[in-house]
Amino acid sequence: VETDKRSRDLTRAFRVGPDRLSQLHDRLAATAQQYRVLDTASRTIDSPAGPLLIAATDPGLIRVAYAREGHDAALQALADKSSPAHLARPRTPGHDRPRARGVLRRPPVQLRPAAALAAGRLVPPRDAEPPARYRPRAPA
Amino acid sequence: MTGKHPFEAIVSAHGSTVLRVCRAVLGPADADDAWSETFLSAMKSYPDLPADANVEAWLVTIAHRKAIDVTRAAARRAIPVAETPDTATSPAADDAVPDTAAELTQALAKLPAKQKQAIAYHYLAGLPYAEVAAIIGGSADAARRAAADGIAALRRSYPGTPALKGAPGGNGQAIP
Repeated sequence: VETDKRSRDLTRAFRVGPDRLSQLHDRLAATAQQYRVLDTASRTIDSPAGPLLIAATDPGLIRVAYAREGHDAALQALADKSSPAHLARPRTPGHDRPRARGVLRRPPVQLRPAAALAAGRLVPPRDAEPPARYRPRAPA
Repeated sequence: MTGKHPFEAIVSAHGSTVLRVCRAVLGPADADDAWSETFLSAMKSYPDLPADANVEAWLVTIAHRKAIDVTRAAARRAIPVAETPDTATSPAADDAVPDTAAELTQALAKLPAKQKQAIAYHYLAGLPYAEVAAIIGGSADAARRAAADGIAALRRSYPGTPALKGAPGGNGQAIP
């Protein structure tokens, strides 16, 4: 009981506001995009049919889900089928530059389509070279 | 089939706990960077994490290593000054109880590293002492003693926190 009370009081003293967490999330998503850590990225957009979840991987768009399907369930299905390394796109602008140290200091690389999607571009640039593993193999 | 939640859910579920731990161990100035590095590193290795792993203990372990890195880096770039500020850097405005947090952070900063870590990992992350010991080294009993001694020291240096009033620690025995 004493431990629970002490934990509660210390947790209250170190309270984390939702805005700060949201900022950190956005910074993490932007940095993960930039440094190619994300396997899938998603964003939710408004549409005449209601909110749509749009998710993409390297090759491009992989999932569009209506709200009635349950966006969380759709993301869970994607995590089960492909990779759980997924983040939602930054929810607020202005977090494009990583500020953390260490691994974040590696030089920036060109965004993958998934990252481009997460950054707000639904279609990769026309001249974008597909990653090597998605290029057709030369005949033997 | 990975059987795991999307990493987004992991950030949502454990983000605030990891940030509290980073603040308690490092102080507010370096906590944000440590948080970001913790989750970036975690995201890289998350696909390989066993599905039944204790995610919170795993995240705290990563945060612990990042905190060590941050502390070492800060020591390398530390510049001597004539006077130090009277108060620690306050958390963001939306993080309530800033005075309490700042004062408590200052009091925590004065504790030996193991005591500070034991308090953060046990009381803020909710890890059992066996897990705390696995992270900071030593036995579960030693982790319990470190937390008890830390709470007792906090009670002496910072008696204003409700959490510390009546804390029976100090001899390494009484804190459950």
